[in-house]
Amino acid sequence: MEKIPITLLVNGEPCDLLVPPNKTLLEVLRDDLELMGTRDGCGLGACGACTVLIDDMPVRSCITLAVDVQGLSIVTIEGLANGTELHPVQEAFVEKGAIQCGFCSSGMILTAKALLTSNKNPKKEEIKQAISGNICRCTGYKKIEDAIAAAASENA
Amino acid sequence: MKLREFKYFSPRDLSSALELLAIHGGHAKLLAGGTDLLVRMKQRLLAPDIIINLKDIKELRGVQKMADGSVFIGALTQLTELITSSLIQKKYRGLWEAAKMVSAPPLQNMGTVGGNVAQQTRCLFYNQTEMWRQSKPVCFKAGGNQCNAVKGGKHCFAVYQGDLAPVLIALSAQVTLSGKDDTRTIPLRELYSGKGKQPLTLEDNEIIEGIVLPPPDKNRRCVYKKLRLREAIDYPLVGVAACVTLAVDGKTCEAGKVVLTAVGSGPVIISPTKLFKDVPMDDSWVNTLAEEAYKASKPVANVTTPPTYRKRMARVLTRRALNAVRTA
Repeated sequence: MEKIPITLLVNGEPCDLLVPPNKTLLEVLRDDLELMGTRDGCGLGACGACTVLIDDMPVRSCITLAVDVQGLSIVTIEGLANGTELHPVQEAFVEKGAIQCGFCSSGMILTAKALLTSNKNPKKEEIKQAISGNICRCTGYKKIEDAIAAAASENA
Repeated sequence: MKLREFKYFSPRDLSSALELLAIHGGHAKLLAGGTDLLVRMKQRLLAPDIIINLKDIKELRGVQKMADGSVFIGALTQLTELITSSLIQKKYRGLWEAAKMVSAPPLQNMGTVGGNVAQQTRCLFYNQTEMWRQSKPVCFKAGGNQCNAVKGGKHCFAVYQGDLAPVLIALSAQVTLSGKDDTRTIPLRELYSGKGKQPLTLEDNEIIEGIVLPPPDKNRRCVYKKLRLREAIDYPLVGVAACVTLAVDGKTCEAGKVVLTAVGSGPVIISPTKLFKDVPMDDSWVNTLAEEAYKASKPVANVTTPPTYRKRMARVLTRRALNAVRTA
């Protein structure tokens, strides 16, 4: 199959890649760029584990073709921390115990980051709405909501 | 889950896309948001040789007010753009509500209006992985000759579960379809065949250009009510759109429609003149239409909740929708 040259801006770094059109962004991130923080969950766009930010918007990388995001800016969980210093949302997740098995955390944290970028002081309902597309099977969501609210108040 | 190989095109304008479609026709599939198509490809329900990505076609994107007062929504407009449009939020409230209820925000950032109205019918026994499906005989939808959902069923009963179509049809919206040689604008209701196996009347060589909404009308009220098990992600188990135009007294209905989704293989329209033309919007009007909705709903056991429950909920949601439009 013919491969297509693309350039992606992943966590601020330009990446030149040659990809077959049937490769998803998730596969490129995990297999080619070895960024394993983005999880491969249901693979069908339902669970939210593979969420990444494209131009600051959370999207599902498992049902996004890599060739379709040519030239766009992609942020994965690896792009949040500043060296060894965690991003305030990551810090809040640790602080509030919002992580159990950790499988949903990358997607949850990126979704929360996108929310706080567009809405500095979200109401409880807005937090719930924002993470409504991300499934967590451990926490019951309470601590995740608390962590996002804490990160927001830290921000304010 | 990997996608099978395909040849990929991403045309920059509509005419190039139409040319590609004219050449490749039935072997090609159009990609917009991908939230429906790529999932079906991963489940091996589809294996197109060619994918034509429409996302680079700028002319198909955006919400615009037209000279005659109507509003054009380009097919490639993302649901998030619809939700953040103040025109849609203020003047087409029911449509705005329905768009917000489609799946969840990350999928609204991907899914498009055109993709949503062209959503395929679904079935609990069809929208499954290849391995899962191999445990049952091949059904009508997959090219076989039996229905796995309805015992002895003589045709496909796959259910249409789009959220936008019921509201758009209730608003009497039209759809513009482009073929290689001509463009046609038809009432959106005509896009749906009502058949589970082939739910759309769209030709192989046609692309949905966009939706035309009638001009805003301060006497028109439209709402959408949706039943689902979770408050996010899920497709509707029943959806009811009600749209009425009020007479000057504010208590009489001049025109309107009730349109249901997820209770058949296409949107189900209830619009008899005697129930909408110069009729007082009293309790008996609400109850009569709720009864009509109950009778017109023909759900079968092909989603996660029993058809008897969904049929009863069609009545309940219709009542709620009509009470909302008459008291809003």
